Amino acid sequence: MTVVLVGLGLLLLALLGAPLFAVIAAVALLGFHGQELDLSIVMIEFYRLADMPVLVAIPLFTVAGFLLAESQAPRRLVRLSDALLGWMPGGLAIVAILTCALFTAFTGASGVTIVAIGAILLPAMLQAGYPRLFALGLLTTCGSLGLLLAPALPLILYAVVAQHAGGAAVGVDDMFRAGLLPALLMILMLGAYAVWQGRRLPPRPPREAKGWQEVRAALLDVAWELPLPVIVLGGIYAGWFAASEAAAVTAAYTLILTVVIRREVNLRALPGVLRESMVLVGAILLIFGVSLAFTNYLVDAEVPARVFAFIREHVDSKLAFLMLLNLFLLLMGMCLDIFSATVILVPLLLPIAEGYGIDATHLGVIFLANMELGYFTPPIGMTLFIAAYRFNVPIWTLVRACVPFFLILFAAVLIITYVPSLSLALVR
Amino acid sequence: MSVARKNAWAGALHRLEDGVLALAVFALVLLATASIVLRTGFDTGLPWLDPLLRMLVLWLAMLGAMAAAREGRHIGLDIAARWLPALAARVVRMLTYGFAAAISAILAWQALRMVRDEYEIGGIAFASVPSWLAQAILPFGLAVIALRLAAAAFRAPTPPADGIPGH
Amino acid sequence: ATVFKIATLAPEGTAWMREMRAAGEAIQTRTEGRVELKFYPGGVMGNDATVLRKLRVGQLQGGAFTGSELSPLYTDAMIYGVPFLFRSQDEVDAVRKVMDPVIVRGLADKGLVVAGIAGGGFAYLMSRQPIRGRDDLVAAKAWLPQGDVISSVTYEMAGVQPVPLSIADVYTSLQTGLVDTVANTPAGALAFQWHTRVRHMVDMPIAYLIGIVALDKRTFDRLDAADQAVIHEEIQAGIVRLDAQTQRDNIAARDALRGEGIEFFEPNAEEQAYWQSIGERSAQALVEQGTLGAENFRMMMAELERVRGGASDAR
Ligand code: NA
Ligand code: NA
Repeated sequence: MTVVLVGLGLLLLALLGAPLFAVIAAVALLGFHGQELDLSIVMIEFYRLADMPVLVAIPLFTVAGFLLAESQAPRRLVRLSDALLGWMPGGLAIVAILTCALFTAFTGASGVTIVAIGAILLPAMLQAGYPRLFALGLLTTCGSLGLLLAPALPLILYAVVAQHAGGAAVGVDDMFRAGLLPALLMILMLGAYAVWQGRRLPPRPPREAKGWQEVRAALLDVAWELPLPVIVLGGIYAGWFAASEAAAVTAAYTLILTVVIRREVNLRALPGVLRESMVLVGAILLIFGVSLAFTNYLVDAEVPARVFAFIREHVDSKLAFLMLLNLFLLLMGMCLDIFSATVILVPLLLPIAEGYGIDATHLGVIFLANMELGYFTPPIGMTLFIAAYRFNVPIWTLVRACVPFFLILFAAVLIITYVPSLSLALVR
Repeated sequence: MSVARKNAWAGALHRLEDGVLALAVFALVLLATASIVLRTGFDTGLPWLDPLLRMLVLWLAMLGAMAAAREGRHIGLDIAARWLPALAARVVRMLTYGFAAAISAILAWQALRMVRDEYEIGGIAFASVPSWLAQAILPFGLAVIALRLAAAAFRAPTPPADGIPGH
Repeated sequence: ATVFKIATLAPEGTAWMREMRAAGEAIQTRTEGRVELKFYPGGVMGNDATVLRKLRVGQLQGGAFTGSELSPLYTDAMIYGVPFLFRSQDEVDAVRKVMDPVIVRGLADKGLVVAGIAGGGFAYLMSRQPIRGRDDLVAAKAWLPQGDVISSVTYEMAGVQPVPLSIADVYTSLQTGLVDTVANTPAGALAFQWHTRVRHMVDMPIAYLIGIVALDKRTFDRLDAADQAVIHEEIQAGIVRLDAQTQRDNIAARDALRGEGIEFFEPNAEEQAYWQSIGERSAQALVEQGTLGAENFRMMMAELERVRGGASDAR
């Protein structure tokens, strides 16, 4: 009885906006207290953050993403893809899809994409004659597109958490490889819809179609930024670097690029940008740290084993389990942000999923793909909020605008879930 | 102390904090890059570099979390702030942040106990840096977070901007 | 019931976990449920330092550790790690009869009851390029297990600049070429898939690995003597089964490594002397800097000489 009341109280506090780390820490503290264990275990678990070598990649990639967002890199990226693809039917929409995906990969799906790219593209799309709802829906959806592309933060975080949860070894590099084809599938499906929507639009005005000359100019314009995807994608997919090394090189290069070469982040503004990036890192890792304690309480109390036994009793096929998993993750994605969801849910799901013979790497892709939908589903959706603020439209308008995109990406998620080879083909 | 003086002090403190944070980020980037240069260029490594980097991440995380607490920007479900009337929102804020401050204070105390225990045992984190020193950021940071959340509990909720920290 | 919550890095499904669970069940039955062993495998309770912290605050009442993992509590727990010391399993068996009790006493002073010590077998040097002597070794990109004091001193004595890495990162680092020389037991190399990344093995034991099952003394002392004896007996029985299995595994693993095309290099007398000189200088340095207890080291060497003398007498 008391347990239920306390649980409801904590849930209410969470719904009312209490910082999530405090809610999770409270559960862990109460749990250990209930087991009559020393409460300092919570901090012993928290300190395990310093035992994870891969974790170093998180602040490094975050710094790089924030610096890029602060610079003119988003504008240059839009210019290049517009020069390359702007001529197609639905060209501008495809430009939006590609630039958002690439940019999100670098900014770690922290919601920066909408601020940096959406704001450039919305006026352009409206001017080109796209329906307002379509443009809003597309840009809001694309705010999280690309979080399956290396080096997006959620991929790294999943690998760290999965390694930590004691499951089969999931390397960051594995996740980077596994996410590639699923991400391309999502991009292709959205792209097809964009072409279909754009088929009746008038062709772009000739002054914008400058052909190869513009492609060349755009390429020259973006020359200094071009090594970045090479470092990360080439470095990791070709096996030159480990993920944490690619992170270090990316951060160092971006720092020099934006501050010294481009001078688009001036020295006075630099500490502010660095600070902002660490605010995000701090907020994520604080939740991660207390989640370690929460998970450890569950392990100590042997909860995962019991949950598994219960599910095992009622769900007998892998297919049925996957369907339940999709449903569960969809619900969780509606309410939790991707980082909290990863650190809280993965340690619980991983052993259960492995019991059903689901590959840990594939589970990661399923998990993150589902969470990607959560970015623009009510009631809690990071990109919904940011887009509403940025485009100055009511959230419910955006929710309505996102429906077709949700359906498309949901179909993609189902394909990703039930075709494991899509995720695993590049891993082994 | 006058309000103006107090604000000046707070401003200087915040600038100092931001400076330390920026320096720590620089150190992280430099050391991580140095480690690669040593490995690929000179086929060698420094035994303490890797654990130092990991400790730096922990310190950065705590400094970042302290900065987030300064402006009440921790990740949370802020629907209430969006849809509640102003007065109710204030009461809810007091409740939720007061709770978070109390939990942070408990965590800070438990962290202090851990550090004290580690000090007595005399464990080594790396090179000749004792583990208790590496851990010391935890009680300190959590205590600061507790104080800041307590202060934020009595401020009116800021109009929700981006919904997440980082902007 | 008195519950011992025991953490280990060994994953579920390994021979180690199978035997430990079997021992746990036997203990529970024989003590009529008064003593229960709960295992937390796969490192879910954290690495060695975390497990030691949790033993202190009472979340755990036991753990399985390597000798070097317990060295922060009692340095001589890693005494069998002295490089190029043992030449055969017989030498190890004889020395362990004398030195195991010393380790047990040393850990008891630190609040740990040793329920049993398992033998992991000999570690060998494995590499991508052949290592025949000093020059090859100095040129190698050798892996230094993080926090392993003995290996660190040994490499220093050999004039090698090793690359420190945690064991989890070794496989990828072999792949990327960050390291090309590692040390492990044959069975360990197979289990970690390192054999796919090395081509040569120096067929001369570097060091002997042990696994110590340690229990919290406060909890253990609360049991009556009969139940304590049951715990010792059953864990010991499990370890005897495990040791036999480990020895078979390592022999089978040697064959498997050969089958994979790994070349075994047997050092000649002169080369052996070179390796042993590194071992002797390392041991001396370890004793001098106080990493190993001087008296215990002398005791171990005396026993080793006695065994070797006996062996040459018999010849
Ligand atoms: Na943002
Ligand atoms: Na959502």
